[in-house]
Amino acid sequence: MPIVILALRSVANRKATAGLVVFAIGLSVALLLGVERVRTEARASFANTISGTDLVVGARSGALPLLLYSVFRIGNATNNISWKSYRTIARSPGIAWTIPFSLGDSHRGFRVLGTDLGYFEHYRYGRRNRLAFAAGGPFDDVFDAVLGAEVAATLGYRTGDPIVVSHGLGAQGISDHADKPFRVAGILARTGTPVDRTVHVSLEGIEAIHVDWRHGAPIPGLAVSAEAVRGMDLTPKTITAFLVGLESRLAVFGLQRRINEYRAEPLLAILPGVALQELWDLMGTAEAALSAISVFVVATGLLCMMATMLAGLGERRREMAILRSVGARPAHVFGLLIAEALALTVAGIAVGLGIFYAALAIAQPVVSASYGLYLPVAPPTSREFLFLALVVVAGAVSGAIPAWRAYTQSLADGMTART
Amino acid sequence: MLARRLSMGIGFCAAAALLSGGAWAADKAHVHGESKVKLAVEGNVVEIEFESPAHDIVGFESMPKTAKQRAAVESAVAALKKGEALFRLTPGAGCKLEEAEVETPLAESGHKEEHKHAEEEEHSEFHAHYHFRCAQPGRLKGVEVRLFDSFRTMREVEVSAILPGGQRAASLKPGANRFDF
Repeated sequence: MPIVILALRSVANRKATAGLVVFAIGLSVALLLGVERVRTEARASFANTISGTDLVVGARSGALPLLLYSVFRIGNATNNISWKSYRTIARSPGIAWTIPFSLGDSHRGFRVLGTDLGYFEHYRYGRRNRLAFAAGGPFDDVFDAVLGAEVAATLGYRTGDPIVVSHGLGAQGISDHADKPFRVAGILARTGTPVDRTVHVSLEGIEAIHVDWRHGAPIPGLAVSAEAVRGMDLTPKTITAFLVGLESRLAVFGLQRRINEYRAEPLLAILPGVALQELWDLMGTAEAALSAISVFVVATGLLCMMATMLAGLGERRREMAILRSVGARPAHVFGLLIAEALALTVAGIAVGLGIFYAALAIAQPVVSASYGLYLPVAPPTSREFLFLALVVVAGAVSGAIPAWRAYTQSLADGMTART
Repeated sequence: MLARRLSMGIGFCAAAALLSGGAWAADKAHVHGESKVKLAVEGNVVEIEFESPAHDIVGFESMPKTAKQRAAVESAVAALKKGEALFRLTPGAGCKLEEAEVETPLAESGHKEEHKHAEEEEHSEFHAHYHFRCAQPGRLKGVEVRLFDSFRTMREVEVSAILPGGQRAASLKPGANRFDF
């Protein structure tokens, strides 16, 4: 224990260099924790987005694109599928429920999803959680909208507010469906999934705002008022994708095959869990690269500490000689330097945790709003603690080299420093 | 640090966006060396479907012409019918094979004329379907896929599974032939 106090006092005499070393280690530790947190939370948020859905069906493309554009709202569909095919499949035996998705419009940067009431009843996320309403309820009018939590929070909407949907994914004002505004009927509770960043309307609503549009622009001279459109047949002609829940898991592969061999139209049915696995396999390489980089940055931080300590040894010959003269043995000198390395590493970790949590607190709302990735400001996980423990061990090990150098040096110098 | 974290976020999104452009793996693809196992568990029933290019089973894909080739197809069908030997479910679960069906155009010698279409001559497959019933389904922990022992040319088996806990996928190889539920 006296050695640790001596080490701390000795370090206190070299505040500037020690401070820089601690800061370097701190930055590297913060990066290590940050990469780990983003990596695990990104995985968790992807894995939690959909549960209880047996099949996702869309136009034939690839399993990953279909999963990404339908469930995660990343990218766009290449083709839509016909309403007729959807109804034919939805009515086949063994199907417990289906949820139609119609995508392609947006509201101030948030995607608009046309769906039906089954969405609020059957959609599950995380550990089979149902969607809950924070305010209001599901839509019961053609021009009702239900907002995800993030949409309502970012744009400051309450139930009853009017909103205007834009055509396509461009900015507001370029091609608005301003003649047919929607009313906020409900706001969903936060889920931590892309649902939070979605504006939900009924399929009839999507159809209604497009009755007087063609090829992405209003048809000149044909303006159908919001009131007139209510009297029209608003059955959609196409949808983007649909989710399927079956009564028995045993029937899933059979239905998947029948859908993939559907003659009237090229369709693709995927198992969302299996497609996610494909995504992990692809992301795995990028994740490994990120983790490797952060490990190397920590190693650099510790090397920096080692270099500073080695460089300082020459100047500290007198200090060692004084210690020897008051009875310290070479082994004590060795212990002193190890204690110094440990103290610097632990201080570095403390600084790193500070930087990490400060950055997390600042970045959290931004990342959540822009990427839909919710990064909880939670205490370190056991895995993160393990990483920190490994950093401490690595710090002690990197202290051993200067310690050994000081040990041999003090054996040679004895009590008289010649410099 | 903020900039770093943000750029990481962008990196993730960019990676995801890139992914949406690739992966044209259609289900109908016929890849030599790659067989598919589809497994579903519901209650005390385990159903397994197996699809494999004929090349990986018997080494050829055209209709058997010689007596040797016909014998190869026959012995492959017989081997594929032994579902309990090919798919070893957790022994403690007490699973019994109740039904096994094997289909391949190569075995339908009587209908030779009908199978003369060019595309069927080029690529033939083996399909098998197994229905297991387990006495102790709670003890089901996984399956050991022993296809590699019976079919030496098989290199990789893609498993997709629908389990009570969710959907899973894995790729099995001769050295790593266990799939844990």
